[in-house]
Amino acid sequence: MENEIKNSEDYLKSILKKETGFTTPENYFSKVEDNIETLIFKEKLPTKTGFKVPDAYFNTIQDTILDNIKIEKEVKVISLKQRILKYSAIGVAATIALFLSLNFFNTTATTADFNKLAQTDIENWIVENSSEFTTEDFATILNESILNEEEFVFTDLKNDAIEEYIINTDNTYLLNENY
Amino acid sequence: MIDEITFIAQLTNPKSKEKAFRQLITQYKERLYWHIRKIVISHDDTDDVLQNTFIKIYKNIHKFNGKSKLFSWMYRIATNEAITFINKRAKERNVDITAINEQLAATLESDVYFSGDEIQLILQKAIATLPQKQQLVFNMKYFDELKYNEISNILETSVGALKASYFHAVKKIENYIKNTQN
Repeated sequence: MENEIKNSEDYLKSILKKETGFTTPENYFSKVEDNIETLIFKEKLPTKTGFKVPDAYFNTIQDTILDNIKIEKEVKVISLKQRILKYSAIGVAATIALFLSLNFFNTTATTADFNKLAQTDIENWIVENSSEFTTEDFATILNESILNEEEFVFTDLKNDAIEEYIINTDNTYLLNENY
Repeated sequence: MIDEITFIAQLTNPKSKEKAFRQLITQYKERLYWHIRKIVISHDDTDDVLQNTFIKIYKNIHKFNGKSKLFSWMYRIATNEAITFINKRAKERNVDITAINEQLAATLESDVYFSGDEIQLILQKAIATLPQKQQLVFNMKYFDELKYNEISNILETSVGALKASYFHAVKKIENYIKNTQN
């Protein structure tokens, strides 16, 4: 057996040269001492933090949490939509209040007197707000006071004026039979 | 170098322990590294096992009874740590020891810390096919050139059993290489 092992060993040595082929990172062995000393230092560090909890804390924590959950459920929940509406209303109210207060503080106290209004102011107001008047409103006013058909004198209108009006005014709608 | 008894006394004395331990690491780090490396194959794993080995030595130095050489005692710890590591890795991957060894040897081709040629790669693959005891005996006898009685102390196995293991290991490796080359 000894000779057989010797022959086999010799064969392996002749082709392998007794080298494993394993290598290490550069300077690996010069750092081994420091690395191991660090680990040993770490081993010596206390494994416990020293923190404590009150007696029976972990026996009661479950009940405490569940009690808190119950209280949370009982509190009225305000949805996001409600909250937005609420704040929107507050915002609108604040805007109105600001508008009113600015107008109030920026104007001197005057009493409304219809006679002090200029004719042109009234006309301008009517023109600007004409969209707010319905046909019925005009009809009522005209019937009541302003329009008196008998006072209407068509002969007073000059032909030239009528022609000029027709030429310069977009009146195509007058040709529409449906009107 | 001071004698082993004095050195062990320094290692067990709290006042001199740190300094003596650093000397111990310096003296044995490479031998233990290469012993472990041949078992666990990868450098990173070897580094982990080497560190664990020295930590175990540090913690248990007071238990060293002097019946064997300090070197043999440390080799035994390193061997046990390496085998424990391999067994753990095999368990994690749900394979047996031979299968895990073959898997590890197969990683050598792409290992940046393996610079062996084709025949060295074949040899590692051949060693991976051996039973664990034969692997250990082959590596310690063939590469580390330890004597049978030293290996006997480390592995706590009789010299006769070691010789038989080595014989089987060498024959299997020879056949493996010849078959691969043909």
